[in-house]
Amino acid sequence: MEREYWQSVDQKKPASGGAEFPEGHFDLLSGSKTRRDFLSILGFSVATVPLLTACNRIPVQKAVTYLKKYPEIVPGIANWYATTCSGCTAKCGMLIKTREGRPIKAEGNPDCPSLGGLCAVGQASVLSLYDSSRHSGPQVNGKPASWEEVDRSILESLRSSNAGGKKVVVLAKPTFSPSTKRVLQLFQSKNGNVELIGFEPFSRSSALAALGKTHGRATLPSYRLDSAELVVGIEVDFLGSWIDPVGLSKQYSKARSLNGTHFLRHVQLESRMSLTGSNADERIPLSPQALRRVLSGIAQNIASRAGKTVQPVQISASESGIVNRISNELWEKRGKSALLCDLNQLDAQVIVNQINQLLGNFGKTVLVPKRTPLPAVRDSLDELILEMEQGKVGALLFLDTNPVYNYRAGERFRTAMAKVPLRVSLSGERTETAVHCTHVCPGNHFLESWNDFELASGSYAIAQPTIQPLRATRTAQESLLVWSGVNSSYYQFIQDTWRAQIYSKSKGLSAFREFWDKSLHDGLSPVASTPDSGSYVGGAITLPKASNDDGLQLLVYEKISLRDGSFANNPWLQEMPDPVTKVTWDNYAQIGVATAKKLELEEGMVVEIQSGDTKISLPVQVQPGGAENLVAVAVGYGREVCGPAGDGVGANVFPLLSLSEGYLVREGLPVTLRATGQRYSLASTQTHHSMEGRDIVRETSLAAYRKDPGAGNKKRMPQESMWNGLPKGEHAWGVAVDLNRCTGCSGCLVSCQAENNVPVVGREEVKNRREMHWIRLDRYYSGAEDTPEVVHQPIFCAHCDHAPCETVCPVLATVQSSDGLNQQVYNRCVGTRYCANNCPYKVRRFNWFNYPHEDPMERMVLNPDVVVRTRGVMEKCSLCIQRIQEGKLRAKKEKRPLKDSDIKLACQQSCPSDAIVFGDLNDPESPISKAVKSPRNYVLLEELNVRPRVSFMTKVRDKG
Amino acid sequence: MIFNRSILFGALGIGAVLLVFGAAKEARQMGNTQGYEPDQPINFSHKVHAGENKISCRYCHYGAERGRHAGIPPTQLCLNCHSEIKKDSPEIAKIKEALDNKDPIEWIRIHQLPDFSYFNHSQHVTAGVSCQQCHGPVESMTRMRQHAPLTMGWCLECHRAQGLAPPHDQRTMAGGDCNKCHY
Repeated sequence: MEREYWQSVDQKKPASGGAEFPEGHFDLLSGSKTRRDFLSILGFSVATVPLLTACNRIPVQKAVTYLKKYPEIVPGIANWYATTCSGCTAKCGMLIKTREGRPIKAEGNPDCPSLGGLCAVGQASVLSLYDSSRHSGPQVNGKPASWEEVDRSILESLRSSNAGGKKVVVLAKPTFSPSTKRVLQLFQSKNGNVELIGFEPFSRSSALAALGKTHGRATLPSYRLDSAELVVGIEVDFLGSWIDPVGLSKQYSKARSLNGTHFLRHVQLESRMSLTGSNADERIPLSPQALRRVLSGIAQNIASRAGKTVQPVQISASESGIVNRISNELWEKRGKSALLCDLNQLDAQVIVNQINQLLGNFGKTVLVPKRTPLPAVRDSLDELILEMEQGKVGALLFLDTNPVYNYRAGERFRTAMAKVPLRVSLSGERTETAVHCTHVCPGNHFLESWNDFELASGSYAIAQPTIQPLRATRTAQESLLVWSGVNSSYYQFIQDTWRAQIYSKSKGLSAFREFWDKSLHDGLSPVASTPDSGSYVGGAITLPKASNDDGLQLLVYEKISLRDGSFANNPWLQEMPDPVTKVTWDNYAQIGVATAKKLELEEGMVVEIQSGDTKISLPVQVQPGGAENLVAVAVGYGREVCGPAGDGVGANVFPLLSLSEGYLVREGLPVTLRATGQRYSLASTQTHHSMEGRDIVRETSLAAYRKDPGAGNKKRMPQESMWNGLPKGEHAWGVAVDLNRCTGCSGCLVSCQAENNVPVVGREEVKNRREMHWIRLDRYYSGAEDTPEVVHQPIFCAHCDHAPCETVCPVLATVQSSDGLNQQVYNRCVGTRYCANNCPYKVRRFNWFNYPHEDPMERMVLNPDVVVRTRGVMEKCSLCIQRIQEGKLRAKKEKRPLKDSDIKLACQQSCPSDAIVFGDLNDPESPISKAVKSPRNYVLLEELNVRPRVSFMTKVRDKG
Repeated sequence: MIFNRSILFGALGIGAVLLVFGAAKEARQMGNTQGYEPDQPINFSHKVHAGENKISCRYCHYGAERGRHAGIPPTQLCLNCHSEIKKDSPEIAKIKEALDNKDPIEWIRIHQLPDFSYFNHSQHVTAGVSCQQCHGPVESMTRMRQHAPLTMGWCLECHRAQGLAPPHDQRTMAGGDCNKCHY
């Protein structure tokens, strides 16, 4: 059956899209230019050539040498260091590539539980390191000071706070680091009346508490989706931003790879269209209140099957149909299924654990790691605010927390804070909270610091510095050690922790030095405490409360790029299109198609969202697949103090939120909506470079695939060629992208940006459709507007054998290499843009400007092996030619033939779902040759006979 | 009158063509710094070190065997010998001063390739190309001088002689695959 694909709601309407060039934009063309004007321009350019050549000498460059010889640094050769990402709770293993001492690229560490994957946030961390708006050194009352002065003044204030009988509060982001925990405990014991409070703006507090209640360990669960056959997600973006997105993507794609004995079926119940939902085999949009009712229904159904009696649930007929179907499936796959849920409500989380327990999933697909965070996280700071207002708090230390921005009552927090005599911010980045602190003691970026972590898998990871601190900053832990009167570096302190807590478990097979060196080299200790099923405490099954009020509800969520807003000043992440909405540089009020129609709202209309007395204004984004009566808004925007890239981008939604039983109401908060009459155009890449509904995504159902692996695909047609054919080169590089594995997470996009010095163009230029990303992720919808199916497809230069771009270039700036690459030769390019016009895949990017790299700090992130392109030059994916050349050279120097496993593309290396296969088509045994021969393999727009080297594999969905 | 006018235009035309060709020829030489021989902050003589004392090039330019850059040696390396030899020379004093003040010496860079060209020393050294083939008789230079033009044509001359690049008449790919060097 032919399916109709569409990319946006607008496209379904008769008139679609805007003109690329607004009228009157190009004065040079539209103005009245006479022949004489043209000649005078020409005359100028001819005259300038001899002028330029007369001053023959190119600018004098200095060659500044190292003073001493550092044996590990050879100019031009990269050093790699294993460390651990601090982006989220997952703590993925990282390999950092440094050139001449500068970290320039982050890749996944294949030896870690994240199996070599790394998400966009991890990839972009190297840019945050060189953020020149980070604090340059310590400050007292807004004035720069030395560390000695700061330490003296803080120690004095701590003493006087103690003397005055007031308490010291450390407001810290909960940590799983054994050494940081020890530092906090030490600080507590050395400084009298210290309270440790854990705060995270987008915490998983209810999940932690629920596991503590049902299984005796207040920690985040971990999963083994690779051994599951069914996963049911409830409002949980586990492939995007929840707990361990990279690890879960690896498991998810492995379990759905079609090579194994089983295929993991995925059912998603959710209100907004999340990345995870967009990948589901079956996705049921339901409002947050309906989700709670359905969850209760499932609990009741499963419990009665397991022989327990619970009170019946009042749900509608359509909802009970969903409940029965999903309960049936779950019951059938007992012990082989997993129910994942991210509703921030304690009783909902408890019931999810109880369902998984009744299904016998604990210990099989759901595990309880042994690590627990310190300080215990809480969503409410109201108690603290009250104490501050009463003058009971003598000192307040912010460790990686920024409540003035991201606490729901941030404004009240700020006013209350003023009553605390000593306020210390320890974060290296500029924050809204630090502005109101008496002391700013900036910590290092995580790539400049030592740290350690206990992972969910039970092993211990080390984070090591990959560069000396760029500024006069000091690791936060070291500051706390100084204020605890300990004269030891944090590095020493970590080693002590490891000797006592971790090395002791290794049963002394080797000396500590050896043990430490090996762990440091690998990034991971050889010792692990395996997670288990915990000890089920049981307890009565109480169904979560759900209201039957189906009015307009608010859902807040974390975007895959900015998460809770900590990465707001990272331009790579700001410009990364959201995997589903494709909007860059903004947050918005996401409203489903039906609701938008009902409320008479259109994309780009600015609305006021009001809850209680608080309101915010945001533009509307109409989202296919959004549940009825839902407004979804991303947190992490509306930062006021974070740096030039993030300040004033979007609106802050935290102030709208409220608490219920101590938990932040992130879903289902009743709100009202009012159109303001204003309009705002979002910088979206959604309809850019669209392939206009041609046969570009091919998919099939699992049942059809089992009968015929080529289902949904068309046979390759033999085609005549008017060209002589290329001489066969030594290698023939090819790429296959498995659409069945690709989740659309966009990690590859940022990885490519870091590797290939791809510039950031900003919101206005994205609106002009001039974004520069070499990889774009196309997202197609099919089916009904309210329940669409979604496919993600990464598109980059297809390296055609008969490349249409090559035949139109008047200066031969794009030509075929003997290895089958479509080469873009920047120094030949004169910028006619004919090639981009003639490219059927629209993968070429033109440098309309010299994109700024003036900031000497930011410039340090550039890959020295790839040239920075100037204005007027066309560019596009080179298949990481610098990596191919490096691999070739290594093989040549080692006097051995080149294997295609020697080379990994930047996008391929970091892919959390191993969707990209790269290799040599001349080698019949290579994975790429096998992939190309698969019946699922196809190329885009085959009828054009351009013979691309980049091919795709059909997507397979288990339709039940 | 008409005749005169056509002569005038013809002459102008020829003049314009010559101008364009001349400019193009000039433009091709743009950035060619062959023979560049600037004063350096330290009067270091390759003639004394490499010529008279026969110190191997790779003793100081150890990066050439391993990496992309041959490199200018770290300041400390000079003192491997000069902590004993010619200790009192005013030039050596500059080196010691740089080390004591932690103020690295800023040499004037002589060999510069454009950013869009990738060159790797180790690749050539491993293949047995001698340093002099590109850098000229360094052992006889008191002051370092750029010996070769370092233009693409010059690179290709050698590669063609070795059979590593297609002959000159191949127009689309003058030197074989562009992205061997340009990326």
